[in-house]
Amino acid sequence: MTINIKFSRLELGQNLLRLGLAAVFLWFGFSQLFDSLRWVSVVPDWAVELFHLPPAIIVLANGALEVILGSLIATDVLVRIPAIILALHLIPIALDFGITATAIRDYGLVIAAFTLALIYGYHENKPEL
Amino acid sequence: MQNRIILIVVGLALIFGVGFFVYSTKQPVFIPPEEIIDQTPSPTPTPSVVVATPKPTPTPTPTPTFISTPTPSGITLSQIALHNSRSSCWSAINGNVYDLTSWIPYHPGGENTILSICGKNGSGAYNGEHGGSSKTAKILIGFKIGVLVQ
Repeated sequence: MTINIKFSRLELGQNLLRLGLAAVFLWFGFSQLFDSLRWVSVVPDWAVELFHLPPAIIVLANGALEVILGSLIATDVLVRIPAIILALHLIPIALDFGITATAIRDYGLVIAAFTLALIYGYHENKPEL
Repeated sequence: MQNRIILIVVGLALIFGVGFFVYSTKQPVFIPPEEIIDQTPSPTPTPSVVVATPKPTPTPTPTPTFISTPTPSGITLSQIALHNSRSSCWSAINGNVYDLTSWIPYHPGGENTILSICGKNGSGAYNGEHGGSSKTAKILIGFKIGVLVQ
């Protein structure tokens, strides 16, 4: 049995972006699940007031969301919708940090996730997006 | 089809790999030394899981030693420099001095970021990462032990 892997540059780029983003969200998601204490202090006050939940539960729920959506993206089961959801959920998190290095990184991730949602599944033989 | 199977396998490997990595690099929960309860004999023996840490016996020193405790007049950089380790980590940030020892294992950005400013003026590093963030300022204020004096 021979394994024949053939990707165009576009497909390779799409898959690298997909796996890279999935790894980031999985890392943060697992970190919130396994190491929740580290994250409790950064839960914004507005999130506690909005959900009426203790910060620890918000951390666990957010971690679970990121792991589930990250897994969907990593396994190529669903890509575009999870990417949009993750991008949208990252916007208020980034805004809460203001204009800081952490926030700039998060804005970059938001743009990357939106980009993945836009280009994933696009083939060069299609006339337009 | 073969490509898709490979991508799914790579995706699954990524999930388990990242999960295992995060789990294996998880920081142990830190209990500040002052919160560790001494095991003193009690009239009713109760099973206890609290481990007592032997306190070092103070050794008499022939010459007066410099003790770096915050004074009302403030803390100098030379005093801060003595607290440059994981076991005692002070840092000066924007004119105030903070004891960040208990925060080291909880810093979301990792331990090394805090360890790198122990015993130093960490204003540059802090402002570069969190400058202008009211949330981090609120967290930081809980660790304040004094003001920086020259």
